[in-house]
Amino acid sequence: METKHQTISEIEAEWALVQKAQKDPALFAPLYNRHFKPIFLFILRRIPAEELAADLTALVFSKALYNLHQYQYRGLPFSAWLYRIALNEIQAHYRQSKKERVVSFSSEALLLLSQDIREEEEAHLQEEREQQLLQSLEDLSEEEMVYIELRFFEGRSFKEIADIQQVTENNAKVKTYRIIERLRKILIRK
Amino acid sequence: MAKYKFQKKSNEPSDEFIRSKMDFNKILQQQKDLNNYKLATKPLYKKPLFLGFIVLLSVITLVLIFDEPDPQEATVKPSKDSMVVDSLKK
Repeated sequence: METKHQTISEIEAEWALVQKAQKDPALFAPLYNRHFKPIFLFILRRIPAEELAADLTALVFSKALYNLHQYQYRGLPFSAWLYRIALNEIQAHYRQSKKERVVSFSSEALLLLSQDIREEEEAHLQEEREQQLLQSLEDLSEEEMVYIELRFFEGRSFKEIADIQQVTENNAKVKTYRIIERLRKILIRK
Repeated sequence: MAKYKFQKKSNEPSDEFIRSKMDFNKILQQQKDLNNYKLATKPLYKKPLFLGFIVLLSVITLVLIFDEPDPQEATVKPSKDSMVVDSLKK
């Protein structure tokens, strides 16, 4: 994963950069250089077309710079705001194109999710279970899918998920466990 | 139609490729364009809603012009029945 947990001093140092950029847009460059790659990869995992992902990343930063004067420090990392804009742009893209929303995952991540839903199972059941699990994920809403992606497919901490989704850390945990519980029920029905 | 398309994570593009996509000057230019009122807003006459309204207004005007009743037909002669009713009222 391309992001790491930021300490309070790091978040505050970044806020100082944001304040400078609010006065002079040219000073946004250090923030742009720091966050371009994570935001680009975040979009690319959801829209697997490199050129389009690069265009959308540019749009995310343009919108961020345009609205920078409205940005207020609430003790959250600046990246959380950028991820929020990126998620909105991804949703807008899928609304316009009316295509199926792409969800990228690794087998290990799916296994992790599967283990959280079910207890230990025999190895030969794994492949069948993987298919069942993917079918169950179809029943999730867009918001629920974002939680699963952030937590299991991207391995983000609850703190980071909370920052991106603009909820409390506890709320992010509760929501994620409720989704897992829902998936468990769907899987039992199947 | 399925809501989601699940696919295994593909390899990340190289750092070189990602760097090649970075262009801060483009971001600055886009931001300036967004701030430019003339560029950021479409003129009223180019907005589909406004054009639709004009078309609708023209159609209504045309219908009213061509559907205007003949002035001779428009003068209603009092029928005999109504005259009877009038006399009864008196």
